[in-house]
Amino acid sequence: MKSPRQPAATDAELVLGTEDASLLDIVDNVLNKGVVLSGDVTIALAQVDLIYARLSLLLCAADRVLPAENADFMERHHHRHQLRLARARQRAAKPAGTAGRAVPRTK
Amino acid sequence: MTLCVYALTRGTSRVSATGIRGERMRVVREGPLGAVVGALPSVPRGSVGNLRRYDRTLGVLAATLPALLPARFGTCFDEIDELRFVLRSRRPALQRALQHVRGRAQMTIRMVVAPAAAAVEPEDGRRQRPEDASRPGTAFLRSRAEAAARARHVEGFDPVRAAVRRWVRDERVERRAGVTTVYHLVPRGSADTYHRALEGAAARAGLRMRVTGPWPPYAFTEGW
Repeated sequence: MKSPRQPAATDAELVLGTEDASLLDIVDNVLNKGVVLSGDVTIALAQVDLIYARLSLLLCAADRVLPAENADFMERHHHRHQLRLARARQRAAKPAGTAGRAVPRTK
Repeated sequence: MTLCVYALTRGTSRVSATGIRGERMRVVREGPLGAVVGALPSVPRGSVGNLRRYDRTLGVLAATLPALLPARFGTCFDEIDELRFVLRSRRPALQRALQHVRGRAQMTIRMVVAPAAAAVEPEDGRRQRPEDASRPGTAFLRSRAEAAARARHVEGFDPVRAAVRRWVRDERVERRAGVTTVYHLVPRGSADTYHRALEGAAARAGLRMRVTGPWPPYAFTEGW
């Protein structure tokens, strides 16, 4: 029985004190740590893909290499991706033999 | 088929265990390095069952291989040549990392430290002393050293750290979601002694913590 003077356990304390703590160790070790090599990494939980990355040149996770630039990095990555898609759509829409024209860059 | 990489080891290592789907694992050699791989029909999904099986597989490998760097779950290659290329291109760093963890295991200590005590972050990590004004290089290096010391600081942990210092070969400290985690790299043969010494010191210091391990050295694979 808890002493009345003992403060209520925080969420973190509850997690550490349960049987699921062993799962916490496994998830922390297996998903969050370990050598990151080049290759395809797919991480999915509950049938939902959380991460799919082609890490052919990126030898470390982006959030570790660029801790301060993480948000900006992802934004720029998204921007480049959108631009590539737009160019591919434009190429596909053009009749064969027509000279290409660059998609104007967006801000 | 895809090659699932479980761990890196020395090129001379041999394995006779099975992977997460019962597949026979083998070592792909590239000079002094080796990658423990298993052929799977597809990239494994991150289900809880797969994570537990992966952890068990790494545990078996760690028990038989003196030097082992666990690969992050889900690392797969379509071509063996691609894997060989990566091993070749990172050979010096991976060799150093393997040497560092050889014969050692990871112990994990988790504790809940009050936010006020944990938040000892500097205002901007570049506080200058008056004597540093004319020596910017010295000031920069000093600020880096102070920031590193602050990052390692855990309120109330110093007596515990001192009690196990003789076994600790390396240390990492992380703070996430109100939990402070300290990872220690210790000689495999000393894990039990370390554990007892740590719990004794924690009890004397009145520090509540949860210690698990020995684990394969998952937390000591960064920065190589």
